[in-house]
Amino acid sequence: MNNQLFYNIAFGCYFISALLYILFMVSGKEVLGKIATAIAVVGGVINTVGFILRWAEGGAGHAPFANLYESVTFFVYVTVAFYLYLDIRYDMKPVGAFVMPLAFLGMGYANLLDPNIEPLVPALQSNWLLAHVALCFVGYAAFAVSYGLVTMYLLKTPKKRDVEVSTNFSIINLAFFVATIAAFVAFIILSVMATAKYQVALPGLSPAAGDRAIIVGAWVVVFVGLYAIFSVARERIRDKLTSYFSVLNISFVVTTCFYLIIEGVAQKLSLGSQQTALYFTSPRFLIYKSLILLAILVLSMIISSWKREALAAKLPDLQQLDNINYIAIAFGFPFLTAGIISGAIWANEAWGTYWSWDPKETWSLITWFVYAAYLHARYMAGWKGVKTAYLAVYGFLSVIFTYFGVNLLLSGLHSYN
Amino acid sequence: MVKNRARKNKTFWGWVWHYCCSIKVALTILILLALTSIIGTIIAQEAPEKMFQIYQPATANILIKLGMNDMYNSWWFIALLGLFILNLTCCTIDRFMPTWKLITKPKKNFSLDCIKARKNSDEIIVPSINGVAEITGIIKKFGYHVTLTDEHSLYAYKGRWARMGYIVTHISIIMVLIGAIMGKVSGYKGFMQIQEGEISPWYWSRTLNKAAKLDFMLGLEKLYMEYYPPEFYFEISDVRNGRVLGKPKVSLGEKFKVPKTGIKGQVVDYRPDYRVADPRPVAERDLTAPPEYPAVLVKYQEKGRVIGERWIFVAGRDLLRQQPLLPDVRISLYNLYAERTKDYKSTLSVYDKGERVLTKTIEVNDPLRYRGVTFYQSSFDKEKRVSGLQVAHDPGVPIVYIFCSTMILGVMMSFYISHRQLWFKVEKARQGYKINMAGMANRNPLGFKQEYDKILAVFNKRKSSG
Repeated sequence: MNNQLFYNIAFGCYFISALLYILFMVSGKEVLGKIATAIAVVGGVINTVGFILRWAEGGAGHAPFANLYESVTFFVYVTVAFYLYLDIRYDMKPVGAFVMPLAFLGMGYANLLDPNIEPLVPALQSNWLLAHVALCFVGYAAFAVSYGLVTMYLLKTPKKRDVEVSTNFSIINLAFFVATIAAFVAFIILSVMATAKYQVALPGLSPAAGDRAIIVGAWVVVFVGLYAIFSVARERIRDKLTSYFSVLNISFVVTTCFYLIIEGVAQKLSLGSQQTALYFTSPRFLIYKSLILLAILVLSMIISSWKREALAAKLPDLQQLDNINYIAIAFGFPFLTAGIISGAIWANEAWGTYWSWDPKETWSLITWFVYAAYLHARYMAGWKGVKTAYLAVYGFLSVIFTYFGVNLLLSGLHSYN
Repeated sequence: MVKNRARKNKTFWGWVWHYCCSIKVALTILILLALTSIIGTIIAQEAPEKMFQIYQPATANILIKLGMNDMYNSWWFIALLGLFILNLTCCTIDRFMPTWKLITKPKKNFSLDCIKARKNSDEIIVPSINGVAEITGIIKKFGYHVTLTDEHSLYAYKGRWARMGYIVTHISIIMVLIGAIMGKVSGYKGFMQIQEGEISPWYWSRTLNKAAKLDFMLGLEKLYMEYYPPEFYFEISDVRNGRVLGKPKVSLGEKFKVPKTGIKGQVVDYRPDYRVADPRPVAERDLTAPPEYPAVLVKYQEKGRVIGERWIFVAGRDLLRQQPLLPDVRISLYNLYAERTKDYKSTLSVYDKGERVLTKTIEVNDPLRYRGVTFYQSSFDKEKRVSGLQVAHDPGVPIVYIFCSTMILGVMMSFYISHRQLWFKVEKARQGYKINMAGMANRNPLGFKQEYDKILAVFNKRKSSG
């Protein structure tokens, strides 16, 4: 139980540090920023001690990467470390106001999980575990920091009030929303029908569950996909989206992710994994929860439009943010590459296949494609600003899905962490 | 170069080549690959008969007809991968020579005006410096290679090979895919089930979808299994207000305190799957109900005296009507780890031409290799004493491994090293020298600016001290 005490103290440090960073942002007092960084460093050191103790407790061959508690705390730890490195190297204190709250939320989330050290299943008893997880998570941490930077970038991007609403835009917009609503209604009707026919209370994967997964999946993919394509490809739409929806977009992504994660884990603990899949695809879940999400969205919209300009003035300039964001992604990308490759080699040593298109593998490859697109767009195609910022947002969305979504919603080899 | 390309575009093949090398096409392919890959993570990738278990018959039929149950091997996905490789190859060929020139024949000399027009550019007058040689010394300390281009001009560079990073990466990706194709074409994968004491050359080939024979025989000498000791997690709460009093974690035989009572409990027996016979006929039984009703038998002691035994179940799944022994507290089980496999190993022997040539104990993550065939521990059956082995022959693996390593190398070259260049014009001033300095890096402008400022600071220091 020793290590948990350290993790809890680190949790406290991250909380205080996050608060001070936000105060620093609001007041602009340098001292607060310095104290916040100092406390974050203390938290990081305590976190390191906890990590080492936990490793010692589990035994030398048992690196603490075996369950969700360990992986989330490690993710937070590496993210804080990477942020502190960036701050020391490039003096980026305002980023702390976006990264430390993430660290605090991550630690808080870990506190809801089962912290027991579990014995390793045979598949995880390999030296590759350490290399694979460490490499992937350093990559993820860099992408998390990049996400903080992109949030700031989009917040800072000035509103363009003079964008005219072309007929083109309104037709696409209308078609988009009609399609979304139609898909949603079709989904509800289909699932109600399926519920009546197969009785969802049945445990195990009833025939309807697969169908529902497709409908929900298609719905989400179409929604996010169209949004992604519009935001990256059409300049006019992008300006429109940026002026009104950038913060909305980001808060939507964050709240949805956190919500799904917390809900998913809670349900998985009490229901078991197959029941969780059913629960997530039940109409009741979607109707009630989308109402809650909508409320959060409206709230975040009000908060974000309120004094947005005053907040934006306190952020570093756009060029600086863009450069640092590039540093974060260019730092993380080789780690992600090496992480995927180490996973492939490990799989070949354990099962005789280095690539099997299992959902976790595939999603990590999707993340890799998105960030590869970002790097090429920025360097070769000369894309700048908001366009690449959106690509980075979708990259991080893909990271989150690779990390949590696959385990909670899809099944595969990686089901243990 | 630009002229050349413009001329090429006029012919049909020039136009095709232009599209093959286009960065827009590359980005489109990357994004398309990302989007289409999602499909296979949502739709189950299973054999047709299994699809019918997962989906309603109509859905399953449509999915199978569209080839969605084996999406990553479908013609259109393979075609997309083919386009990806084509684009990658063309881009690499197209940009190789310009990159090579940037590395080997960079522009070393600029006019003073050109230097002044650069983004990172400064003019310093340093009184206490002894000509070009000393400046060279200062820049060399920062790890630069310095050449004198004429008597007034210096050119310094470092990390120039970083520009090759993307070429290394691209070639590696192409080679990894070639290795993968080699494995698909001339390799095979299969499954072997072998009983303790049995010697057999037969395995089930997934490539051929029938039983196949190895060139040699494999025997299972012994099968070992190891388990972690069982562990039980209890939740003890107050009957009156439901407040949780404690969550002890105990192993078999270990004692735990029951809060508020002074009584100690000890786990004496357990059933991972406790079932009470269902009195209804089979047709009426709910066979789909979760089969797990774990239960733990706890013996209670008060001051060393045994006061009774009770079966403890998961909350709400109590299958027995037991008279409560401790009326103040409610004890329930919330986790039970009974047979957690710690390890399973098979001692295998290879018989080639009637002779035993090799014996090895394999486990997950530690396979046996013989004549290009690898045997992986994948499953076991405790009762039947059968070991399940994956059989794989993949001649592409060495290529995949080598080029995966070079790919990491290439990506690291591209993003962790930058090609940094400095240009100097040195002129004799009334006192000391006037230095015009300009710099550029192909990556990480912020990092470069910091180094540039440091170099500038060295010169500025000379200014004040002199």
